[in-house]
Amino acid sequence: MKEIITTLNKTPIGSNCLICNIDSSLPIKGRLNELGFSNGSVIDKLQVGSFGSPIACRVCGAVIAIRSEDADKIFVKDHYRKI
Amino acid sequence: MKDFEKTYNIALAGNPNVGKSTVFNSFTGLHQHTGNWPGKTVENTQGEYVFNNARYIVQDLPGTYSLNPNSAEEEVTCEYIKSGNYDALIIILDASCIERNIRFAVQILNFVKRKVIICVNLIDEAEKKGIEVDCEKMSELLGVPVVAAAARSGIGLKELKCEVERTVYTENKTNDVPNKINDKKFSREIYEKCCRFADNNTDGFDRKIDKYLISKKFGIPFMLLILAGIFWITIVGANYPSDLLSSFFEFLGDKLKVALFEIHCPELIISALVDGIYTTLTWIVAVMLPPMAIFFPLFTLLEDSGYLPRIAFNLDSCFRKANAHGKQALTIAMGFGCNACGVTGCRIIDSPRERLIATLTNSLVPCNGRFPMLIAVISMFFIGTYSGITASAAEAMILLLLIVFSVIVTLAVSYFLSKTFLKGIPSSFVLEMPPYRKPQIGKVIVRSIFDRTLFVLLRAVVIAAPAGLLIWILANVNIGDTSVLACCTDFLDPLGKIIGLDGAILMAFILGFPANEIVLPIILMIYLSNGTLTAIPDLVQFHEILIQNGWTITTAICTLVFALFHFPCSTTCLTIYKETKSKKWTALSFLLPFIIGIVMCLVINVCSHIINILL
Repeated sequence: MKEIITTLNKTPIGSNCLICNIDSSLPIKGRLNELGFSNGSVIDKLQVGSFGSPIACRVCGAVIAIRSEDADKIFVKDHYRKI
Repeated sequence: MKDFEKTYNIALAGNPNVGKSTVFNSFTGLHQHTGNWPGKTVENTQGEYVFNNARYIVQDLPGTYSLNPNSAEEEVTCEYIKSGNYDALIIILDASCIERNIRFAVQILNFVKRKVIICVNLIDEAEKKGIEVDCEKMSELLGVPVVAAAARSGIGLKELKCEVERTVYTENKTNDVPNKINDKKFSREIYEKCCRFADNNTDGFDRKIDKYLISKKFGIPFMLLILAGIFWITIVGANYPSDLLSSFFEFLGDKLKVALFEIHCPELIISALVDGIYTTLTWIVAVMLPPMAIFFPLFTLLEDSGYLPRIAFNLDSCFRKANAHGKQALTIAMGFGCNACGVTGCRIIDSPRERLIATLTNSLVPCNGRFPMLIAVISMFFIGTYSGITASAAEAMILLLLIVFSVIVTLAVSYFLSKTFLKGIPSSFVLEMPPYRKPQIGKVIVRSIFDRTLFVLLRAVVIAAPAGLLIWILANVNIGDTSVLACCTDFLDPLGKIIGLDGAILMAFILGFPANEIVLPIILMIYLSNGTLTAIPDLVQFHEILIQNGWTITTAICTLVFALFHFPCSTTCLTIYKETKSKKWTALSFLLPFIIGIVMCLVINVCSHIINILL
């Protein structure tokens, strides 16, 4: 399967992806890192709120909600399957 | 107090919402409020317990995700953890989210290399999700004691206390964790060696509920439905104890009067005691207390279940458009319980600008003390003599509309503030959504009814009794022909009339500054001070009294609006001053809702006059 790099905001709901880069201009990068959003983490995009934001993702066993504009700065490899 | 051999200081640290306060409560026997959402504890709390003849002072620290602080409050907590100024530090980990929690523990171990005990909490919940944590192995790898616990059901707490004792008695304890190791790699290693998973999908149940409660289409409708349900239960449930209490107090009041008469008490004092203090007090207990004592536990149950962060999730888009923070929804929700608590709770918002917006707008939503007033006015003027399920459902719907309206105004004011006094770009919103938990129904109901009842009764005695006496004195001391009270209300009357109220209502709101619960009883007392009725009236009689004093539908609407938007109570003002440390912001938070209320009432009054003329 060809690997597609997209952002967490654009990847479809329900996808299981691998974070490959987080834009360093994201002010909350540090906080996200503490919560498990780091290069190489596996995350599931679970649900999206009423107006396309926020986005609920499962990472490190916890569900974290972030806004769509922040999710747009998180680059992921879509349809990543854990071996 | 008994002298103990020694006193030790211990502290509880951990990620938000791992159960620090639950452990704290069961250690110290205190009743620190707990809730299933990250950020419930925002203040350092201290308590103590005695174990094997030694005294332990426990610090319940606010939760933090790492030792790199993101806000001033977190900095205090992080500094405290790093300082090592304690005899033992208990790091509490959430077993159901163990990977991230281990990383936090490893991070602390790099700074504080002694006196650390790890407590793996919520093992019961993790077990249900198919997660198994090998505590012995973890202890071996980390070089510190590790205790498994399920604090809510009290499992493992005795062992934890023993471990604390062992730690504080061992001097100069050092760990064999090497300094400057790669946190991430090391925690990964521990995670892989100590934890086992039954299957990958460990939170299926939560996701199923979330499919509805935070769904794109049904999230907000479900939220409104849940709120309406809570209001409905409050309204229906409050009727019965209200009636019972009223007739009981009426009976007691008569007996009291007779008894005072028997002991030849001067009539003036009988009147002051019974008509002044006793009526106000009992009115508050009979009419104001039941809705509060029902609404509060219901809300606590909701909080305990883990639904509050979902409200923040559903409403974040609205707050984003208002340039505010999604967590403001959480502070609003806390404001429904008590505005002062809501203001303190604003500390969960990291960005100072958005925190200030949340602080200033918090009193725009009605607190628990204002709900009974809203309910009473709605039922008198909009429901009338109808009864049964339809009537109470309609009442709940009207109340819901008012609440939605107050939230919309909050959003509008937040937007206004962010464009004028508090300019800035919205910061980001990151919120952890905790797993749903079955609330501890029995415990919550007993605790919150007990706490609430005592609290309200105490406030009633401290504030309402003097207020009742003051009104009685004002009503019975004359300047010339009119009483002082009549002078005051006459003075306020023109202003009141302009905004659709009257002098008595304005006077009641001013006297109700220390506690909003007493506004309605004071209105009643002011009207009664000119009349002859002495028994405690029920709502039907009360309605008649109001009508006799010139209340119309417009007055009722204006009173409702003014009850939503007027100056915050004294406790809230003090809390705002404590939180902002600025007279300017406190003054603004006082004036803002007041001006909004006056303008809205004015508009409503003018509109109603125009409609009257046209018809």
